[in-house]
Amino acid sequence: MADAAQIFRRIAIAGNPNTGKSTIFNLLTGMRQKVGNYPGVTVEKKTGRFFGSHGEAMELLDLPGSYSLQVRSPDEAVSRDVLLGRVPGTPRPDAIIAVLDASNLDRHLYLVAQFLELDIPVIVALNMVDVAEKRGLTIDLLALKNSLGVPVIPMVASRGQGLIELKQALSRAPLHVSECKAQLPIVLEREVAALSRILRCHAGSVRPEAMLLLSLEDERLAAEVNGDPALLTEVHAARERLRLSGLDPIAAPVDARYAWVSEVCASTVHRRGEDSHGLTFSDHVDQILTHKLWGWLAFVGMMGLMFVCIFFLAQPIMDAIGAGMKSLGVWVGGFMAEGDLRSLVVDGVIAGVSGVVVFLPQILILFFFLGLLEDSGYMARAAFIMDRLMSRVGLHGKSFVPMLSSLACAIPGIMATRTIENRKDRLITILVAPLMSCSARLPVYIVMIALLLPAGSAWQRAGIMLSMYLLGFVAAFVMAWLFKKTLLRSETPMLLLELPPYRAPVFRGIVLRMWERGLVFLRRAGTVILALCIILWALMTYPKPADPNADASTKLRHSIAGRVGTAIEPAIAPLGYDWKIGIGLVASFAAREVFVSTMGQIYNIEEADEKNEDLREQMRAERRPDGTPVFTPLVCLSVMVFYVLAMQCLSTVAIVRRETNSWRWPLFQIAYMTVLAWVGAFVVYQGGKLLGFQ
Amino acid sequence: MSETVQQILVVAAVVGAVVYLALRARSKKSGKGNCGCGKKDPLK
Repeated sequence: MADAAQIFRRIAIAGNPNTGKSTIFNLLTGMRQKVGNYPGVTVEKKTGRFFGSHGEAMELLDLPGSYSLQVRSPDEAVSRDVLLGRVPGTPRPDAIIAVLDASNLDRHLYLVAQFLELDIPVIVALNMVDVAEKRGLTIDLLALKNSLGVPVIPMVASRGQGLIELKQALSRAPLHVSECKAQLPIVLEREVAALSRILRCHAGSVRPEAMLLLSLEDERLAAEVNGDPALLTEVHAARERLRLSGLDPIAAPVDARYAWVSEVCASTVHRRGEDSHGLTFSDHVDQILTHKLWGWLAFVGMMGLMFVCIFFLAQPIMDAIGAGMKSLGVWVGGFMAEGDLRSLVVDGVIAGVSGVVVFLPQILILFFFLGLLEDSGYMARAAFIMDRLMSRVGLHGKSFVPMLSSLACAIPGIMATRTIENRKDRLITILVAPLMSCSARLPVYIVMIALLLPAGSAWQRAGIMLSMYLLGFVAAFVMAWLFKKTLLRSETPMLLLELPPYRAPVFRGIVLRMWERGLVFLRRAGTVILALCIILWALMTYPKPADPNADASTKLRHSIAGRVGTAIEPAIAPLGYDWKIGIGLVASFAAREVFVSTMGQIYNIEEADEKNEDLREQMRAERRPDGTPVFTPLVCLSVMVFYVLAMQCLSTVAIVRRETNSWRWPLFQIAYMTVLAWVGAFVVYQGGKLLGFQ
Repeated sequence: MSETVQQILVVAAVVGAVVYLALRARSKKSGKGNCGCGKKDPLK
C-alpha cells in the first residue's frame, strides 16, 4: 500500500444520507463498511485507499451523510469541517465525489450547490439511475454536466455499474474547480469578499468560511468565531449592512441556491407520466393522504381496516389452534400419572404457552399490514401528517417514526431514536415510545374484547381495539408534551423528512418478514414465555396447604402467587380487579402476553375437570364471592386501559437502560407508566360506575 | 415414575427456567445477543 507521501490525490466522498456513499466507498476501496437505512449511519471518519485507472494511489474519506453544510447534527458538522480543512490531522481534500440519488435530484442538488462554493473540484456520481428510469425520470447528462461545470458519472453502485468511469474521472489530471455556482445577490457577494480579506485560514477555504459566518444563527456564530471579538464585530456589522439593504443574511444564500437548483433541474430532468400541472401519481395520492383532514381519516380508516381483518380473518384459525392445544393437553395428561409433574406439563407448560401461541394468526396479520404500509411508502406519510401534532408537543415527525415502529415492538422503536439529533428529544421519544400498543398487547386486548363484546361483530370489536391504540397515541403525545414542558425543555426542531414515491409492495418480501416475525414470536413463546410459565406454575403451586384435600381455589390462594395477589388486592380493588387478576398483573411485568398464559394456568389449575372449556368461557364464568361476575364490561375496559399505559416488558427496560446508559431513566419510566396506568384504569372503572355502568 | 423422580424433574425444570432467564437478562444488560424482537442493533 502506498504511504502518505505517495498519495496522488485525497478525495472526500459526500452526499445526502442514503444515496449509496458507503456502497461506492466499498466498491472503490474494497474495505468493508456497514450500509444501513438510518440517516447518519456513517458516524465515524472512515478512510480507505485505492488505485486510479493509471495506478495512482488515492486516499478516500467517507464523510457522514448531510443535507446541507448549515449543520444541525454533529455528523453534519464533521462533513463541513473536513471540507473546510478545519479538522486537525485531516488535510483538506483535493476533490469531492458528490454522490447524488438520481431519482431525487432536485433535493440532492442543494448540497452540490454548496460544494461548488467551496472551490474544490467536484465529481458528481449520479447513483441509482436505474431507479430514476423506473420512476419515469429522464436526466439529460450532458446538460447536467454543462450546468454544473463538473464531470457527471451515471452509476448503479449496487451493481458496480459506472465504477470504471468514476475511476477514470478521478485519475484525470488536473481536476478543475467549477465556475458554475448559484448566483448570490451582489450586495452579499461584496460582503463575502470583504470578510474574506479579514479571515486568516486555509487559502482555498477563505470564501466559504466567510459565507458560513455570514449565514450562521447568532448562538452558532459565537461558537464558530471562537472568542475572536474583532471578527464577531465585523460579522455583525456586515450582517447589519445586509439587513439595511433589505437582505436576510441567513435566508438570502439559501434562496439563491434553491433558485439555482430549480433552474438546473428544469433544464436537465424530464418526467414521463406527469399531468399538465407537473404532478406525478404520488403527488396526486399525497393530495389526499397528507391532507389536513382526509389524511387523518385515511390514517384512522387504514388502522381500523387492519383491526377488522385481525378479528375477522384470524378468529377461525385461532379457534382451531386453541382447540388443538387443549386436545394436546388432555392427550399428554392421559399418559401421565396424577401428580406435580403432570400439573407442571399440562397446567403450567401447555396451558401457559398455548395461551400465547393461539395469537400467532393475529400477529401475522398485524405484520402483514405493517409491512404493506411500510413498503408502499405510506409510513413516511403517516409521519408527515403526525408532524403537525408532534410539533404541538414540541417534537417533530422524525420522533414519530420510532413511535410507529413501536406498534410492532418498542425495542426496534427505541433503537430507531438514534437518528434524533437532540439528546432531550431522543430521551422524550424513548420515554413515550412504549405507550404505543405493541404486538404483545394484542393477546390481552383480544381476550378482553371477547369478554366485553361476546356477541359483537368484527367491526365493533375492531372499534374497541382501535380506541385502545388511539389511547396509546394520545397518552404518548400528552406525556411528550409534559416532559418537553418540564423535565426535558429544549427548542422545537424543524422537520426534514423524505417522502419516497409510492411503490407496489413486494409481497414476497412482506411474506418473508411475516415468516421471520412469526418465528420470533414462536421462539419467544418456546423460550422466555415457557420459562416464565414454569416459574409461574411453581409460584402458583407451592407452598401447598396442610390439608391435601383443600379445593383448588384454597390451594391457589395459599401459594406464593396467591399470597402476592391477595397482598396487592387492596391496591387493585379500586380498579375492579380481584386477587387472581392481580397475579396476572404482577406476572405480566415480565412480559405483557404472560397475562393470558397466567389466566390460562389459573383456570386450568382451578378447574381441572373442565379442561375442554375455552379460556374466555372460563373467565366469563368466573364469579366473585358475592356471585357477581368478575369480568364485567367495566373491568375488561379497565384491564385494557391498564395494559395500554403500563410498562410491562423486561426486554424494553433492558434496552432503555442500554440506550440511556443509566438505570435512572428506565426506573423513572416504570414509575411514571405504572402510576399513569393505575390512574387511567381507576378513572375508567370508578367513572364508569358513577355513570351507572357495570 | 416414582414420586421422587417426579419431584426431581419438577425442581430441575424450575431451576432451569430461573437460570435461563437470569443468563438472558445478563446478556441483554451487557448489550450482547439479540434484542428479542428479531432485529439486531442497527448500529452495531
